[in-house]
Amino acid sequence: MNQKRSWLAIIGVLTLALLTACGTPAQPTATAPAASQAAAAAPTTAAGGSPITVRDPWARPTAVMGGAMGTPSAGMATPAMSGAPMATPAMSGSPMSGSPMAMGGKVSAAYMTISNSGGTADKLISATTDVAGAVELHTTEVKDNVAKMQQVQSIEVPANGEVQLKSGGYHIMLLNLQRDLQPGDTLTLILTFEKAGKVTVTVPVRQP
Amino acid sequence: MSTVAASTVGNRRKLLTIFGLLLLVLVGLGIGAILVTRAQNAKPKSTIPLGGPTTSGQGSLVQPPRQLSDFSLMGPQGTPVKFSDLRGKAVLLFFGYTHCPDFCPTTLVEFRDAKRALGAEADKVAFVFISVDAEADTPQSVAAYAQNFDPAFVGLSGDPATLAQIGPEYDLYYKKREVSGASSYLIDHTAITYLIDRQGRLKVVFPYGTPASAMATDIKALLAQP
Repeated sequence: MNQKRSWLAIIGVLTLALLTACGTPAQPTATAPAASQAAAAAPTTAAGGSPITVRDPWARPTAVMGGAMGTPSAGMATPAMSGAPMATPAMSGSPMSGSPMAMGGKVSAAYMTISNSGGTADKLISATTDVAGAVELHTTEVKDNVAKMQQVQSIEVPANGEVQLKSGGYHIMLLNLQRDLQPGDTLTLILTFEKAGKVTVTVPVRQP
Repeated sequence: MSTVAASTVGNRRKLLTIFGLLLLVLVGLGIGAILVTRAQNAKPKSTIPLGGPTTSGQGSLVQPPRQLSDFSLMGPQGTPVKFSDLRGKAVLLFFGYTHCPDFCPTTLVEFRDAKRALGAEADKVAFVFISVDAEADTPQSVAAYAQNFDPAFVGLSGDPATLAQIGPEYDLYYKKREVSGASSYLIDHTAITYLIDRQGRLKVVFPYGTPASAMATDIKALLAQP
């Protein structure tokens, strides 16, 4: 009987090792209940002494079509384009037109510094905004001169520390944009943290 | 008693078999993981001959300089744009795609700042962005994308055949990856900035993240050469 038990223990350990080896699939199931609890417990705003604060948020302007975005002088781009057999102004207003023109650059990225004054680490687990059909957390790296982008499940904010979302590292990717983002615009981003719950951030659109 | 002993032996065998199978699965997973990582990290071999650092210290001189082949890509006006049309100007070149939310805009912002830092000398430089995503990026959309950073920037959509032909000269690597999620695909791509002289020779390469000031310094040095 003892032998049987020890074998069972070994199998148990191996199974655990296997799950750990697989890494990510095991993790979400482990953390998901905690996350939903936290979200339920915490109010939906950052009010009331949330340990999470966000500094210097900004988002890139979209570059769907030439014209009234980018640097102030970018308006100069339009005359050059007008010779093209395309209805330029009409296109930029209809993101769902499905034309290849409308597809170009319908993404943006938001950057910021997230600080955590609490004694326990937290995680940014998702973000939403009404201007984007989808929002994903991404990380980027350059290896052997090749740029690579990868979606991540969460971004850790260390206890009594901060994490920078910046070019070449983490960013919040905004996809399927519902409208153009022009310098001077702002967008509202709702960040969801595993422990702190939801934090609403007003993000200005600008060129760096 | 003897039957109990026999069944223990039987159990033991069964467990040993399970243990063995688990071990096999683990080893298999390990090998699989190594192979997948290898495949993902398969990198293009560098064929660009590099000399010492540039004046700014941030780029690498191409030594000897590489004469680049001419090519043409469809321009936004529906007429082909020839690379050799740019001869007489130095060329600062980057490959990317317009759905690229981070690397490409970051680099083009450095291009914009380098152009500003060059002042009047910027007229002697063409700033060029070539898309490696011809499926999504039309000549018009890439041109507009580039012009968002500066009206003088040239954006071209690289068709796969042309890219396959000229790619090796630039150590160009790009690979579309289907991903789950809203982005549906991402493109890994070479993030080198190329500085080409007025005769169409590749003289300097900058790694990703080179600041505008360094690019401007090395462009000035290039323009000062006869």
